[in-house]
Amino acid sequence: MKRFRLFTKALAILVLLFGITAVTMGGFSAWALERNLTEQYESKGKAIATGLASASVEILLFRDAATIQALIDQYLEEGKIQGISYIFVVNERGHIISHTFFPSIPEGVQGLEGDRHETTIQRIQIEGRGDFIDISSPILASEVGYVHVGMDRDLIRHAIMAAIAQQLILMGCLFLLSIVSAYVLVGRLARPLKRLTDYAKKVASGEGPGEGNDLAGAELRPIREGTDEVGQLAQAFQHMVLEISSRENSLRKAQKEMRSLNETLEQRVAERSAAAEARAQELARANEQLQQEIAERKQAEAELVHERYLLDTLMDNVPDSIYFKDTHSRFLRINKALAKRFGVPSPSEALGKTDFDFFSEEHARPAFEDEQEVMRTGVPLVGKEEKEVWPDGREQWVLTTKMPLRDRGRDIIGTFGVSRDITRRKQAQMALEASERRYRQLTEASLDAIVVADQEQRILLFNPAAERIFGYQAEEVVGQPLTMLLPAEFQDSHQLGFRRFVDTRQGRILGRTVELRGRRKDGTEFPLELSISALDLGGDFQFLGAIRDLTERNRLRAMMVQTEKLASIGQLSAGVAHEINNPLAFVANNLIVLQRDIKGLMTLLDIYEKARDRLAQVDPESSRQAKTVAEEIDLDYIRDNLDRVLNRTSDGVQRVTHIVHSMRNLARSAPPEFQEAQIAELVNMSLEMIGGQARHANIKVELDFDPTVPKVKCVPTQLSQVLLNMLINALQAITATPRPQGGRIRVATRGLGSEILIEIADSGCGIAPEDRSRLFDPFFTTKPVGEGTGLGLSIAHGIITGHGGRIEVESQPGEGTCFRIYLPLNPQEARHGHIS
Amino acid sequence: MIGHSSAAWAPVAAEPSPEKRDPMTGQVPKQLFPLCGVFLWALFLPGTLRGDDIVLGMSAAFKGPSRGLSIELYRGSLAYFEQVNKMGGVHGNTIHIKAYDDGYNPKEAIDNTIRLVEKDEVFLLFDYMGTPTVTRILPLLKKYENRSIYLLCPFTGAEPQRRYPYNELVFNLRASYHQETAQLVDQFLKIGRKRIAVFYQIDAYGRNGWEGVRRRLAWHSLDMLAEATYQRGSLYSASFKPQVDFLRQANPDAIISIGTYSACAGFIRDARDAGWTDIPIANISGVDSDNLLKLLVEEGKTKGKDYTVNLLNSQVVPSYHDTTLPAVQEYRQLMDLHKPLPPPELLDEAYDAPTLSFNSFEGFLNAKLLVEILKKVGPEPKRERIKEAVESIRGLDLGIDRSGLASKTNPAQAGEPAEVRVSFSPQRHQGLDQVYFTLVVDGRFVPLTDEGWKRWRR
Repeated sequence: MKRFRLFTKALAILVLLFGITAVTMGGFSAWALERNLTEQYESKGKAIATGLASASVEILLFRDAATIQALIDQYLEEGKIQGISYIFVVNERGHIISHTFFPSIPEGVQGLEGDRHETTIQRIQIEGRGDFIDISSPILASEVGYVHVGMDRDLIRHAIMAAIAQQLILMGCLFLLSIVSAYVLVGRLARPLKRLTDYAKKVASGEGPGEGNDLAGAELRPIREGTDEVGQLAQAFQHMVLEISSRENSLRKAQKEMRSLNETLEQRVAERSAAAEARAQELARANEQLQQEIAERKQAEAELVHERYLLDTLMDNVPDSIYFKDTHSRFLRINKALAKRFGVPSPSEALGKTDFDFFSEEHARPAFEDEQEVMRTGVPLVGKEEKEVWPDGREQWVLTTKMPLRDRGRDIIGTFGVSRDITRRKQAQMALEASERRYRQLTEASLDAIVVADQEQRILLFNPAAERIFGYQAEEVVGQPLTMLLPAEFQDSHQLGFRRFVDTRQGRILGRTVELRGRRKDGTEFPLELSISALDLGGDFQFLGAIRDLTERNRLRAMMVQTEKLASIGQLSAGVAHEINNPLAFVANNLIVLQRDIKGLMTLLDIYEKARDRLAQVDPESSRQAKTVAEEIDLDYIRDNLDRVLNRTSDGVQRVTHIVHSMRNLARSAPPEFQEAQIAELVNMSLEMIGGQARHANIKVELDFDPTVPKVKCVPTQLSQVLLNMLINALQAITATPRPQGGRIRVATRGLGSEILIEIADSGCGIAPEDRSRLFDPFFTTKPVGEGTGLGLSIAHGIITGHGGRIEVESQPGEGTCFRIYLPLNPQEARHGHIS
Repeated sequence: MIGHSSAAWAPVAAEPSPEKRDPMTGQVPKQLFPLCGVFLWALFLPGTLRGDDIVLGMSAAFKGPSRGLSIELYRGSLAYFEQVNKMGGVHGNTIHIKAYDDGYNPKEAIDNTIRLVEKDEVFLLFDYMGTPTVTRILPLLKKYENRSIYLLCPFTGAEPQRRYPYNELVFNLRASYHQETAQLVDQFLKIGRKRIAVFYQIDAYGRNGWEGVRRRLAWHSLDMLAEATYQRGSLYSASFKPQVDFLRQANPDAIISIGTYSACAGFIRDARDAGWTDIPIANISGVDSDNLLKLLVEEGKTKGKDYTVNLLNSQVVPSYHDTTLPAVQEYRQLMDLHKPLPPPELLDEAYDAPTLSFNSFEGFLNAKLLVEILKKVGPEPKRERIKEAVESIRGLDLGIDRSGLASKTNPAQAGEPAEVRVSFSPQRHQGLDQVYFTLVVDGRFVPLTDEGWKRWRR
């Protein structure tokens, strides 16, 4: 085969080429790499050495070897700089003061010399460690010392060996690849050349083009896709064959298409001319009809002219508004006065329009309905006052009369009417009414009591606030003397002042505000603030007194003082709790240690006890002493009692710890944070706080916890606050009416599906029905001043609603109160109210 | 809350007088009730105290062969903080340690510090462990200087953070390595051992100790006889035979060892195994003596040999065996009560904690100092106030001051400093200067007195 011969030649050339390349490349790159790496290592080492030398000047002058060590360690930390093997720093006396050698400084390193000004490089060999390039750099012209950096030459050698090995492997691979591709290439070159030859022969022998497309495609496809020279030759050859056959075919097709195109063109031109003539005749007929109608209408109008003249005269001169409307309340006619009011230039402009076109709906609608009513019943509407509202909001009042409009056959065909503008009169009247109303409302709405009296001191006016403050109804006091509202002690001075004013027109308290006391209907007195003004009603005087009840204000003021005081006590006790807390923790911790140790001591004592008899034989003196001491201190009793004493002490300490912790928790208003909490635990914690007081007051606390109640998401500190507050209220409610058999507080919890119920019931004094509505108001309290701030329940309410829950109260005066708190299990789905 | 009075409430002093309690009823004295009642009103007042968390940042080795050092330090601090938090914190603020592992590597320590400052925004840096790590984060502190980031109570006696320019940003409690090594050298010279060799960790820590020894020797006009090194992170299982052989060749009188417990224990093991038993080997406080002892005692048990002979340590805190000290009583009580451990996610394997240790006691004292500082900083902690607060501390007793105690004459303590009080000032950023020596007897540390040193007299 010819292609084998071709391949063998190619192979021989390849082997030769690769051989030469591999040898020269290997040698060259080993040399280059060695030079390169050595240079690189040297420059690297140089850079480090000079860098270190300049950085170390100050540190060395400060004599801090540790910092230098930290500095040089950075270069040797894992994987930092390749090739670096050691660094050491020598001081001016030649002592190594920092280095990185281990386990010890190799011999010979110490003696390495350096130049005073230049960085020097030398190759050294350290026994047992290898070959190095040592770079030495003087620190401050060697006045301070030298830095030596050692670069590992073995690493260079390894790098070169590795590089050459890699290169050889790469060459081998390339060589194999070349052989394979040479083989394939030679094969691919020979095969298509042969086919092309065969094809050319076929074409030449007459089997060529005509229907020869298929032949060309099938025979030459494998070569046709190539782009090499052989492929291009095959393509050119094939194109030539195809071109000849396709040109002949297209010539025949073009002649056939030309013929059919000519025939269709002529037919289309003939069809378009027939459609235009039919349209002109229709227009002429419509014109004739229209002219006839116009003529008829002119004749009828002439007959009406005279009657209209009479009516016009009337209509044009009457100042009142006159109109005629059809059954749909459309204007048939209006007079000039009305047109003017409508704001149209002539009455005819209003024809066919309705009230809706001129007035607002507010007026037009009732007017329309009135007219419909008149038409339905035939009864005229006479003298009605109407408010006319114009679309621009302007209002006018009219006195209007509406009558049915009948035709000659007495059938109602519409309405007509007359109206007169009475706006000005109406406005005056309304202003008067409003003023009176305002005055009345002013006095009635006033939160201050307003009392008006005449010159004879008879009460003329007594507003609702006055009724509320004094407890009298207005009808009870109007006409009565003013003095009935004053306590006896003020009556004399009042009389005196009053008379002085009547006589001299000089009033001491007029225009000023004075604080007095008043008397209620039930005889109780109360503080009030009074300001009097005199009303001059044309000679006669009336006196107006504005009175404010100061009871509430005084009470709040007292409460504020109390709250302030409590705030400072609270802060003080927070501090005290802090102080107690510390020793307490030690007491508690020591107690634990003590308990443990005493147990051990007792065990030890037991062992000694067992050996007592034997001790008596060996050392009767000690035994006797032991016995005496044991009797003196009553050992048996101690033994029985010690555990009990310790346990009770521990209980007591725990209780104190609890109390102090509760106090501290309360003082610390930690940022509110929702946590899962067991309600029973919170209740118990709160009970801990009032436990002592409850026992003291002989109050039994019953607990009824539903074990199925799950943990609740809540702010435990806030909830504890609520519970504690409820419990204190319960406690105080019970102690308010002490009974010999004591009292009872019952706390129960229940799970109610998506929410839980906490019930706190007491057997206390109960809540009066009239107080119940104000129970959760801030500063409302039934406790004496100083005992309750009136804030507790209000805060509780805020917290519970903040948790998405609610509080309910049920109370029987004299029997007890029951608070029910409903809390959702997951309040975050509810809302965040009081939480912050 | 905790401070000066705490010593007075330690077990012995806290004995309440019998008439004040009522053991038969276990009831709290009634006087408390009115107080309690008054306090209920605090319910309705706006809070006077805010409960914030003060977070302290700590980077130390919680993994790897040096982790014992850090874990002990952490445990001691945590025991005290837990107690303080339990009692309501400082000014109502609770204290927490945010700790990251750096494996005793400078690079991780730097990363951790950046994370603590930038991301966790910790209040201050505390209880850092290690000289190579602390030395390298110091420039970071300088960078954060305008943010007032301070490093308090690092567990290292190294010099860089005690010197300009970093001394302004670091407050140390413990004495320095130079102080420790100087005293060790003095003691050895006093008993006639002048040929001193050093075995050390080849990094900033080892170099610092080496430097301390070299300088003190130079002060006495002497040279260091020989030195051998090991690499940081060496395991106890590694062989230290080459170092032992090298040093033994030089025939020293004493060896001062500057390293961490794994390597130092390995070195002692190989030295004694090679039959070199008569030479005293001294370790400094940075070794973590309790973990060192633990390794040697275990080794001794398996080989039936005592590896703790001629082993001495210098310490910067008094012995936790000295229960006459109020701080030791408190420390033992709280360690027993809280049994503190670092969070498990910080550790790579379970840690078998010794109940008590010098390192955890140091951590405990660090925490006590910190609480005192926080008290001075005030209820609304601001970083800017830290410096002033620390520098205003004068004559503070952390419970290791013996001068006021009845048991001054404790025979074990002869030669130890009596008055031990902590003072800082703008010029002084190191609280304590005391160095203590210990010796191992019957598998536990006992104080080494001047008399005790004489056993090695030459």
